[in-house]
Amino acid sequence: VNEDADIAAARDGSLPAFERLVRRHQGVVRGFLRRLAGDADQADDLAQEVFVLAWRKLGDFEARGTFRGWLCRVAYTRFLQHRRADLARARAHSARSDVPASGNADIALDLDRAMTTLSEDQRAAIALCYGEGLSHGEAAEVLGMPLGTVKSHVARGREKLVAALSGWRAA
Amino acid sequence: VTDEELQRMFDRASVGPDGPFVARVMAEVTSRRDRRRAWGQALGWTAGVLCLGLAGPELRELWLAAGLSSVAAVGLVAIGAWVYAEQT
Repeated sequence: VNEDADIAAARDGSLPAFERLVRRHQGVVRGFLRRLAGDADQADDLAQEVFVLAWRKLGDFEARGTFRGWLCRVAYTRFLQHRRADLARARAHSARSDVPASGNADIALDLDRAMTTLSEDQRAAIALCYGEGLSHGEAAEVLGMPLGTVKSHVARGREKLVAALSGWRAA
Repeated sequence: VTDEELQRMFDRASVGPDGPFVARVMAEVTSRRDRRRAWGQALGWTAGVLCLGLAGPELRELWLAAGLSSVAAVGLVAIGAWVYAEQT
């Protein structure tokens, strides 16, 4: 079943179609939020809220962009709302649970630590472009930033990551 | 760390398939949908009872005694019916 058909069916209230959409995109949304929040549990809670919101707001999705991009935009907006509501918790990266994403726990932890050296905008841009494979253009739409700004955030963020991970190869 | 190595790190640290998460989301979506439906049905029943109240002279007297005019009652019924339709 293709994605457009699933989106149309989910808009009409089909839960199985929506479940297929969740299954297809959960990795992107959770991965993006994990890199932003720095806390796997908190990110998964936010991701759940994002999908619940997506179910209710599916009618707002316009086929001009990709569904993945729309979901990431919803996720980014939800993250910013959450951070505004609870700035202290969002800042407390040191208190995060450090639950590894999957696969290689050491790499996930090294990467998470390195990501904390980035500014929030750089982290969001890097998370979308490197972490979730979005193009710079898609990331610009998700983040509501000009394309040039996103490219600049990605470039500077990459420099910082490389510096933070300089000892990785030897380890 | 080269660009390719950095990309590989992200790929290896990416979130894979997660059945429990999907099940959790779907349970929440279903629960919220059911709650909304229940509220909609309750409002629909309320609207129906109000209609009966307007139609039956005795109930209508009670309704008017509560200080609400017929116009307000019709408005409430209309809102209830609209919400019901919207929720279901």
